[in-house]
Amino acid sequence: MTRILKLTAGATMLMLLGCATTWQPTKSQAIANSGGKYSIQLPAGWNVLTFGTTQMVSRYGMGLQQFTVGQTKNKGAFGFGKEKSNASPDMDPRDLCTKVVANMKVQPNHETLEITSVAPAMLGGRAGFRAELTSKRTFQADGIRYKHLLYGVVTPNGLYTLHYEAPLLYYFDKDVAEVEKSVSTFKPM
Amino acid sequence: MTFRAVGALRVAILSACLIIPTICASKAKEAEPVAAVTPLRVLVLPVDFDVLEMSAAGMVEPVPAETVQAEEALSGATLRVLRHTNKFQIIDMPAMSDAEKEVLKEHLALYKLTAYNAAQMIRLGGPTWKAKQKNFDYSIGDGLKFLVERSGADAAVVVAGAQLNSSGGRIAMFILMAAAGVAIPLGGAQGSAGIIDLKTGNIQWLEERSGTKGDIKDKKGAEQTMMNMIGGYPASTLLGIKGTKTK
Amino acid sequence: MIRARALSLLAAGALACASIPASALNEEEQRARIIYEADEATHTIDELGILYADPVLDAYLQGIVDKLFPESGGKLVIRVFKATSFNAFAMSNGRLYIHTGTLLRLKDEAELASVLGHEGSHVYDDHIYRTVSSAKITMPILTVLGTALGAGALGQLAGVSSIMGMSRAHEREADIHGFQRLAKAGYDTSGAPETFRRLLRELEALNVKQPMFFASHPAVSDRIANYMAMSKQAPPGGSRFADEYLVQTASARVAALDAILREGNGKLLVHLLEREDLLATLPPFCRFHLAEGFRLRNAEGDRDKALTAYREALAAAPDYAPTYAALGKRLMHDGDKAGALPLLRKYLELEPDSVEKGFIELYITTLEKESAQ
Repeated sequence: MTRILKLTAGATMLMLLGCATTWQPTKSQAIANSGGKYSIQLPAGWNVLTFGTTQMVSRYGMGLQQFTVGQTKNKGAFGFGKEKSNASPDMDPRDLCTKVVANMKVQPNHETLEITSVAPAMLGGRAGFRAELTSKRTFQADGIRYKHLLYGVVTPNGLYTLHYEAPLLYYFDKDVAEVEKSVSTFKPM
Repeated sequence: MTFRAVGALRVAILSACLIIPTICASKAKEAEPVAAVTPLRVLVLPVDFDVLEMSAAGMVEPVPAETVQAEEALSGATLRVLRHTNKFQIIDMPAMSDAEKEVLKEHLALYKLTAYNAAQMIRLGGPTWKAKQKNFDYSIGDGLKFLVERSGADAAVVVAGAQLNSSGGRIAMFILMAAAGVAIPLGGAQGSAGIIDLKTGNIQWLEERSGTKGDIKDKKGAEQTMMNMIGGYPASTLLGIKGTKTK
Repeated sequence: MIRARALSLLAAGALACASIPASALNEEEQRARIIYEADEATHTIDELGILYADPVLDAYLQGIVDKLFPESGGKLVIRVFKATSFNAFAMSNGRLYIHTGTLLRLKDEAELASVLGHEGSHVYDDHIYRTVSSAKITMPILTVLGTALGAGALGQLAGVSSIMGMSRAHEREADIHGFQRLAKAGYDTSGAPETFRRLLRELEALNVKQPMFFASHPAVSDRIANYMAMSKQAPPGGSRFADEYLVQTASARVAALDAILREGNGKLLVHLLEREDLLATLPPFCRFHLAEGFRLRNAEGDRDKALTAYREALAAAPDYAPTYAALGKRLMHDGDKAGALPLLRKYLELEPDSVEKGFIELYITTLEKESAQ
């Protein structure tokens, strides 16, 4: 794959994102996303870009490493086109994980996602899941190995996912503790 | 065709943005006075440079022969410019096992992703990312420290980039579309040079530039390009470090 | 915003293309570039871990390719792609790829050979170069618009392979030449139309518009008619090698089934395993996949069908762990604690390091607490 196309594709995305809204340093207190009806304290010293009900947080730049916190409506949360299905608060969290990951796998750079472990997790007092995954970057970066941490929970207000991804080499382990700390402050409202 | 046209569009947008000078930090750091400095012992890794062509239909494809020429010219130019600065001692690449080559390969891939990402965020991410200039904490981890013992080098120099040329058809298209009020950039070049501390993996220094000086496939053009890129080390427009260029 | 801008720019560009002079490159240079890109794409595919790595299977498939194209002298090399859809494609550098999903859907070597004969013919008839070199000048709007909507791992293959489909004329030519090779290699040619009949039934059952890569293929029904006409004129007899095919491809086919399950496509599982009777061609534990298909599809009557299929899977393959977990969870949700507990415990006994151990342990703990109350 030609390298300039890899690099400029990602770069343009970053730039365009920057143009649409602006990056801000993360705050020392919890932030509330009123549209998504959740609050969370983001890792200190990072930068955040807010798009509606989604927070994209990064310490080194989204083309490299990112922590995304987001909410989507339950209706049509999974699948595409005629195959859409709904999320519901009484879903088995294990099934929820399967469906969330299936959604992720159709996105560029995530086609090779594999779950390496999945376990129950409480998020804001609700039963959800915590999964670890691996992937290889397909769209850029010469097949670099990536590691992922993914949390998910469904409430009557929607499906919430918290997803951290970073290169397996150096970056993932470096900041995963901070991400887990941030996740522990997550509260659906 | 799927990917290339998307890539072409993205290159077009990025090239358009890069035409506008965004560099020239107003609060550039001054380089430390460099008197009698022990040269940094470096491994110079093979240059990774693509020459691409955009056809009239917006398809971008590599030009293999020119890529080889450009890489050879830039490799030679890198060595000459590094020696010229008197700040580097070039060490030969040591022999490596197949497993070690795979380790090097993955670390280099990570370096390229990291360096390019860092450059883009600093240049285009706005003030909060520009602060990284003062706190440049990018790294690729210490997985290459075996090279320190093996070679005696402290650091590795990596040069990478790409140049996108327009075919005759594309130029004609530009004229046609310009008349219709649609801008299709003719192409551009982008490159980076970085120095990685082999013990820690920290990217000690990074420069990123757009445009080339002359024809990079020939000795003179390559040399001018590399002089512009690393000749002023430790100066770096990306990191906001001013310095005097080596004569 | 991005999409609208991309579409307008690319569409304007593509529409303007017809009046632009042809590329100044000569044929040799164009071919060299296309091969170079195909080699790069091949290298990327090799690096990404998206191939189904099974050297024994690769050798088996290569034997079929070499039988169909004896003159190729190693030019055509086949590998298996980890993907659940029905597809196979050829690269301009002679690499052929077939999806695990395709292997799942085929029942014997003759059917496989019909697919490989078609794809190899794209290379031998020079379709890829002829398509790509003309696309440099005039790009089909559909493809141009398609490019603006996203580019994943396979996007880069579009310019150097048959993955996006060739022209109808080229596809028809590949059908004909592939069929001729099939007959010459001694295969039973009646398998070729059956392969496409099976595909058509799937598209209809799942209510899928013919996939994009078939957009420029002759419609599936036309291909069935063509193949049937060719079959009638071909000499009778020929081999199918069904047993050999099923043995050699067993693991890859199960891998495809597992992937369809992970995608949550219950409809497809039920269609393939029940309606197409692929269950008879798969190991006994695949009754589990059928049960899961009923569970995921959740149509009227599926709950009972799932329960029956789980129990049949247990009887047919008592050492297959996932059945215990699935049936255990089902009984748990049905309120049958006494029935669920031993199944979940058995699952952990068989799979102590399971990826979802945490969930199973939670279910066991919960059921034990509830049972004690």
